[in-house]
Amino acid sequence: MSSVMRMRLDERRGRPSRSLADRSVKAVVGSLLVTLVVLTAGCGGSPDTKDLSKALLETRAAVRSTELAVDLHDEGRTTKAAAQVTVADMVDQIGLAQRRLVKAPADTPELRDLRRQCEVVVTDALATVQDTKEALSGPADGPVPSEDLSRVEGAVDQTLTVVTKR
Amino acid sequence: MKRLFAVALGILTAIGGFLDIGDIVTNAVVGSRFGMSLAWVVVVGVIGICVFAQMSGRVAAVSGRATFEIIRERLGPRAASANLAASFLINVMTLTAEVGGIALALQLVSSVSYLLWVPFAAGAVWLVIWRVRFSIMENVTGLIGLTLVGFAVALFLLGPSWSELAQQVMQQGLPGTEKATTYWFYAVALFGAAMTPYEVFFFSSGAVEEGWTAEDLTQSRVNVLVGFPLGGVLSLAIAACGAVVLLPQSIQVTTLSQVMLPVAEAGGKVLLAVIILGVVAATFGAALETTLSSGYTLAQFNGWSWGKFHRPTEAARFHLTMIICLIVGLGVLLTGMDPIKITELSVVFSAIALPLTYLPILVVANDPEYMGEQVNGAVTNAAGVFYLIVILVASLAAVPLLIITKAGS
Repeated sequence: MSSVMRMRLDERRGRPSRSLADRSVKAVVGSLLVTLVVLTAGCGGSPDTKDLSKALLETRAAVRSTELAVDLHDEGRTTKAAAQVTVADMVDQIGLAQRRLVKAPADTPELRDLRRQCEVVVTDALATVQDTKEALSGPADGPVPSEDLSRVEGAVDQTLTVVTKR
Repeated sequence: MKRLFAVALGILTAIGGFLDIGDIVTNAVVGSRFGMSLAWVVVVGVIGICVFAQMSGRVAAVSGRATFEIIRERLGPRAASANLAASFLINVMTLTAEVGGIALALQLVSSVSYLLWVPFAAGAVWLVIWRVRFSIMENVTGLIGLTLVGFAVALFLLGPSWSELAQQVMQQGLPGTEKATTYWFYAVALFGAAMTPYEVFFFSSGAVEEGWTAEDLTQSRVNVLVGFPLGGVLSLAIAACGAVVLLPQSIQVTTLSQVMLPVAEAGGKVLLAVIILGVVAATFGAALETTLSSGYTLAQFNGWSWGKFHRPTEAARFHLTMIICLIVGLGVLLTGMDPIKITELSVVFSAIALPLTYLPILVVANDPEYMGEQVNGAVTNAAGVFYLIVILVASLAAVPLLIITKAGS
């Protein structure tokens, strides 16, 4: 049966389900379009300490993931390749958190000071995880030092406490 | 004996084929952020996909035609073209996520950037679709994907407090920093991951590819009703691994490498290797299915000849569509867009487009002109209508939740 015949047949039948389907189709397609427009318009967020604490939480999660990957590597429970990829991913994650911090609006001197503190901690975390990545990339299969990761994690935790108390 | 083997193979393939990158990532993210408090969504989603997959399988087996062909004929070109547009876009998005998933898994093995693996992965998908028989393609990826059972093994090896996990399932409290809107956003995402539209299109078109008839309905039902729920159990195991290892350390999953941390902790290098093999197989299988589904939907809508039972020269437009979709997915990934972000968005957009996929199937499965005596019974219809309401609610809630939570962040 040709497509034209099918259309005519359907028109003659005048099936109610088609109009119902039409309406739901329009509603869903409309929703999809609205979503796309809003997303591409960059529907903003509320700029305050939330952005700071979010960046710190992401940094802390990345540092802890790095610690876990390094521990598993040192215990021989994960492959060098998997540990390397995890740490490299965490470098990227902290990089994203750092960019979020730089973009976070700070309208008052107090907030600017707080943002600077966060930037220092996150930059330190990035450098430490980067060092861990390089240590893992080396030819030696020995254990990777992780004391600095614990120190950085402590610093992130402290700053997070300060930020969330505000 | 042969029949029994076919049923067993079908079930195993359904289990292995149930999981894709969307399920793996979304369940791991949810487990690491909300523990097991969203386990109920997996249960609801699995029952939903069972209801509609067996419905579309029945339509294909009884009519001998794929769902999309009948949707166009039954609902007319206007409604069907909207259905096509939404399904096709979601399909290409999911295909992109799956190819990215293959590349990410290969990166974990080699530590070579996933971007270098992307062209290889896309090329391999095309080659398999071009050269390999449908049944071999489906069974091999499904069976190797079964190695994802390793997530359940990992969970047992981790020795979790089962009562605590059960408590997380029963008590719907939110962990410290999480908001109710984020909880519901991930509920919708998890639902979308479980009910991804391509699974239904692939299931019904696959039934035609394999020449199912009304006599195969029992086997089809068993595959769906046993295989998919067992696949759902694996989804829960992935979430539970995240809940046991990552949640207590406030590690929110944002990468595939983090999904592997609980596995390595539980079972060391061997289990890690097994799971990575499973992820490659599952994402590869899903990439094949989404690529084929893209070709199926467009070809079936336009009345082109389609299917792997035709030689490529006899279904040139069908094959060309798939090649173009793969090139589009490849192009998107090579821009450097994070495959995990694409995955997260694809499952949410799947949820948004679900009514467009499932309403027509319900309409067709109730039409005696196509189904004869095999029209939906009262119980199936009640389940179908209930799920249609759930799907509509999820679809309408997805957009506001996406905006309010900034895509779950």
